[in-house]
Amino acid sequence: MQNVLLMIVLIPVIAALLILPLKARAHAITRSIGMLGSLLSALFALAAYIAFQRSDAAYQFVLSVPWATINNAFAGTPLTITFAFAVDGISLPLVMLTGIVSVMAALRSFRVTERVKAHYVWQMLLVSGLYGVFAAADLFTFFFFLEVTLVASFFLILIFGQERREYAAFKFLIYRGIASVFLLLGFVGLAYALANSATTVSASQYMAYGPNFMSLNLLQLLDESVKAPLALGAQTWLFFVFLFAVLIEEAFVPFHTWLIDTHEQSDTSTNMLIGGVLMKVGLYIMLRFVVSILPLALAAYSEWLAILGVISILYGAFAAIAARDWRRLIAFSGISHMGLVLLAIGSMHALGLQGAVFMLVSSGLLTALLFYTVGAQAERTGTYEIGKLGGLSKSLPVLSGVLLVAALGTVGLPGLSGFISEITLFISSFERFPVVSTLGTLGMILAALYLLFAMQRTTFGPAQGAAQEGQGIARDASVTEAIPLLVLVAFVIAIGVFPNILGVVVHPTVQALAGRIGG
Amino acid sequence: MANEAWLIPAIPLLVYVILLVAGRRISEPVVAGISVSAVLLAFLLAIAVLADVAVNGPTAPTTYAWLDFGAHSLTVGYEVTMLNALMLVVVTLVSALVLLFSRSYMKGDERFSRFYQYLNLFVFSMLGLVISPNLLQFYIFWELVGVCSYLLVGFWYYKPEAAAAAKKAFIVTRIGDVGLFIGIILLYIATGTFDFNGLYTAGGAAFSQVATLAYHGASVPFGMSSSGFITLTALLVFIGAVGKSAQFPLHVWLPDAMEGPTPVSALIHAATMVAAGVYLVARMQPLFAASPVASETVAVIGGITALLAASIGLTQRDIKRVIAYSTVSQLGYMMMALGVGAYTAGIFHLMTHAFFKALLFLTAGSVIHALDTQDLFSMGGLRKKMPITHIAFLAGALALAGVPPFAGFWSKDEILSAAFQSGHYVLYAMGLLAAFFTAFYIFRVYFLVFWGEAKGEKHAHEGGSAMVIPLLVLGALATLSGFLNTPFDPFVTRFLTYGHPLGIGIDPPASLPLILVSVIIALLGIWLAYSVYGRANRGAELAKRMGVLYTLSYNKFYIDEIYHYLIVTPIFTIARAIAFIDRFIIDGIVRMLGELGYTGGVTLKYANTGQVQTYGVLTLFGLVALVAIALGIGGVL
Amino acid sequence: MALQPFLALGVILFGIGLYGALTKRNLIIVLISIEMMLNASNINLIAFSHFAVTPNANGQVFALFNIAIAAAEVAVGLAILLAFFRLRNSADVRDVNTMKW
Repeated sequence: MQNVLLMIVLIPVIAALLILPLKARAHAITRSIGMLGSLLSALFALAAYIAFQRSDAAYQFVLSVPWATINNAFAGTPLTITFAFAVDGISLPLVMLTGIVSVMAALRSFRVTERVKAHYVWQMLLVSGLYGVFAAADLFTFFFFLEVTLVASFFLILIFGQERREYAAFKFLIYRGIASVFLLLGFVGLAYALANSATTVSASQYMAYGPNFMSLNLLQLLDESVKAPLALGAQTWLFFVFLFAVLIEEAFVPFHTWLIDTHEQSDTSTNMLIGGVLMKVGLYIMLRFVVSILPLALAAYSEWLAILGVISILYGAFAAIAARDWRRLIAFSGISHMGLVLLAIGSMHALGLQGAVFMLVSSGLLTALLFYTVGAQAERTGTYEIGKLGGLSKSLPVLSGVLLVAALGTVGLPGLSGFISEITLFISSFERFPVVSTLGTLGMILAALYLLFAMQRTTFGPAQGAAQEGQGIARDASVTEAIPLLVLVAFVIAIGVFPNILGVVVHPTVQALAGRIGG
Repeated sequence: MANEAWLIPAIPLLVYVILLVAGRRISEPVVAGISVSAVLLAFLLAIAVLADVAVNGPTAPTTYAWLDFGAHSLTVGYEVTMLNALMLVVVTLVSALVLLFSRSYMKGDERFSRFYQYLNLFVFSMLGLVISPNLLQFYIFWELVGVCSYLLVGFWYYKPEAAAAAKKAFIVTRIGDVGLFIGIILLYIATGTFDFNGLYTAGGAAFSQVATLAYHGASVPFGMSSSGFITLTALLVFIGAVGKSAQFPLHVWLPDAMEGPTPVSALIHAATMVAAGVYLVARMQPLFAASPVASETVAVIGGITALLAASIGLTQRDIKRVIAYSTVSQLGYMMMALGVGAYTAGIFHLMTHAFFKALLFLTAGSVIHALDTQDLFSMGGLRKKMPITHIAFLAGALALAGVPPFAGFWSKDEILSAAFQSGHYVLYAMGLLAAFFTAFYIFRVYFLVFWGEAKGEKHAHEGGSAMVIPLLVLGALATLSGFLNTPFDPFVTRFLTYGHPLGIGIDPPASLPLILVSVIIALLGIWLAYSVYGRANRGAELAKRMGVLYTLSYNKFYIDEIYHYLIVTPIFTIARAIAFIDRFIIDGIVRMLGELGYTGGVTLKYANTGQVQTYGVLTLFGLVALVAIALGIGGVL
Repeated sequence: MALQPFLALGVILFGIGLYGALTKRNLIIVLISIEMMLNASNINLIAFSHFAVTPNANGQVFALFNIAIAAAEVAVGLAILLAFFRLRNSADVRDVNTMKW
């Protein structure tokens, strides 16, 4: 069980390596290997979920693989760079999310017919990177895998996107590259700041680390930040560096335009992985590094977070109303929902943090589901444009039904995963920011507005435009297509009806985390 | 028996799941048979539960952990109170009859089993809402009810009007839902619980004692005064009820919801969706009772709605729309009752209204089914062709108009007398005027549809027994159910005030003069309708004489248009403005930066002349400059 | 003997070479100038190793290496020059501009 995280991260890489020497025409075996790799990793993720100690707030499945040692790195002590993995109640749900979405995306990629090999290789690397980011217990590991996701998604967009794919791919690369730079700055700052504060180490730690140790290990850093908390000044600087990275990474207004272009240009499975999983990384950074290590700065600037969050909520919602393309709408809707998470983090309360984790998972599942359905519809009708679709309920009842579930889940309908996230995070945000939160609830009304308008145009009414032309050839979801839909819907409903399946894992960790910020 | 109350919603849910899985493979009679018998079974259980609590009193909530969160764990469960035992019976009874009616109304529809599937989900949601022991679970089912109505109103999705109506219903009620959402969150923040019972400090057994919130913290949140906070939360909760129960100013969705199949209208209007709002206010009565401002607001909004909707109903041409506005108006009465503190009168009216309104809708459905039109002016002379429908409609109309001894008379009269006796004279006058309008418009429909000459070629006839039986049962109920709570034997009042629940008062006794006034008003309305529409249609004359008033009423006071210009248009304008800003300003700046980099590169490349010697000279100068700097600052950086 | 005269010679040679490499238009002169700069550095190498605290022959060894490298460089340089001359029929340094933007 100790190596489970390593397995999860490595299996997709192995799958990619196995695909590499295959013949370019060997589509079937390429797809099978990709599918198997994703599935196996997801099963290991499931195993991790089952073996996870529910009541324990600490990191579990800790594993550290030394990679290189730099002598004389910091004040005479060596610095060992390791690949370290561990999960706690915040990262495990996201690892699970990666598992679910990656399998569904691999199934979806069955529809890719050109450059199949390249698609699967990059997709496997992206999946590995995503797993690695969420399972990382070390600054270096985290950054390493984040860069892997950057490169892999860049190529997925560049090769498999639509007309303006180059523009989108480079925009993606530049934006996220800048975010990475700030993140790196933040990481280095964190390592130095905490290394310098190591004057209060205990005797055993002294033995272990020496007088001036520098560590990139998250567990040690967390330990250290409790023993010798950083001064407010240092925290503030780091906070803003991290915040800037997160704002870009998570596409908060006004740094969001890259996401819109990316989603508008990418193919469906890439959109599922980017929108469903990669777009949760930024807020994960927030929870992982900012909330736990920089609590003073967070407390000092939490109003800012709330306000930034609400700006994104409203801006995203209004922009989604005006969107004419389904993918654009989903992208803006995602921005709007991530604003909610920022608001929840700003509220600095355990319930809010739990709501934040729930929202990340729920929005990941729903975004993937929306992209999948919309992609499947576009495959049949040839367009994503809302105005050109109509009356799909008649020709595509299953897809339309699933689209309805996804839309309602995104609106926050009880019984689906969105609601429990919204209620928990709003409870905590209302306690701290009643006025700002009231503005945030407007997003709930606007979400109903844009999704139902788009739904009505797409699935209701008489068949028209592209839908009509496509009627002859349009077939409803085939079995391989229906599986991902039903699985995703099943998870969305399961979390909505039995939130405890996630809650028991998340609760102890966020409770402990909230202890750090006095919530 | 009350401990098995969870079975009541579970049965329709089970049927829903069965139909979801196997619906397409089951034939129409079986689908309808399963559904009707299941809901009938639920009805029988509800009767048993009602009998149980009538004898043993309400049960304590049974709860299960839903989301563990330390001290704040969220729970779900069920409980049976006097109020919801009554609601269970009403909901299951009306639903069973509507399901039966749909058997022949929806016969041959392509998605027959889907229709029953949605109906079962709808019934399940409503029943789940009724037996919820806490606000969170209540809200969950509240939203589910909204979604079911969305699905059912938009059932004929290929009709653009139906799709638009479904969307409108969902979004408008959503506005109210968000109010409720904020309300329950604030209540939770203040009291640390969602439980209906745990919200208030134990008030003891003192009858109608004013409750206060059970603040779990040291003080009221946000530094508000306690009464201010109670008023705020009560008003927020009321916003939810306004949306769901179609009260002014959020009443606009309900008449449009007529685009759905008629049985759906009957279900939405009589027993399920719109009743949820009234039920919510009744359930939260201790909170409203503790805030005079909130109760006054409820009463005033109720009064305005009653009058406004009744006056719109006077002139509509679509039979279902008239009845829809009458629903809005009657819901206004219920709110008014709850607002002036006449708790049992409000609930009693909810119950009688469920019967006679379901009856009116189903008879209207029967008429529409027979004639294939909803336009009042192309109907007529059905008295002889559809005798059962005629009698049933007449019973419903008399009940709605408030003619003794029909059901509506007893309940409406209680409300009006409570308004008068609690000193709300203006509301009383409004209610009276609305009653006059009500009598007029419903008999306008009656005379237009059943009297006069037959129009159109279609040969009208009664529907099958599946259509007739519900009409007979509901007709009997509309006629007789009023006797459950007469001033001589107030059975429902006794039942609902069992054990002196907190914050609930006893309605003032009836007074003979007030009863006489309302009876006279109702008869006046009927007489006017007869004189205008009874022998010949002289409606056009009357309309001309009314001038502006007619135009206003016919156009629903232009409320839809006002909303369109005040709310819808601005939202879309903002959205377009933001889309513009997004595309051309924010992304424009981004693209400008990109262009800047490109242009900079293109410009600077001309410095690369390819002349090695130029490079060499520049390098030399650079070196010299660096050395000079190094010397200048006395060291190599 | 002192170190300074050798260094002065080296500087003068290097300066002349640099001037020639940067200003002369004929490619052959440019090549010769570069050789001159190399030789200036050879002089410095030998001088420094000779006048070091512990005199040794390291500098001379490196100077020999340099001469060998210079020979190789001239060979390559002249070859490029020839090829260029055949292509463009010119030995003017200003014509060597194919690497511009």
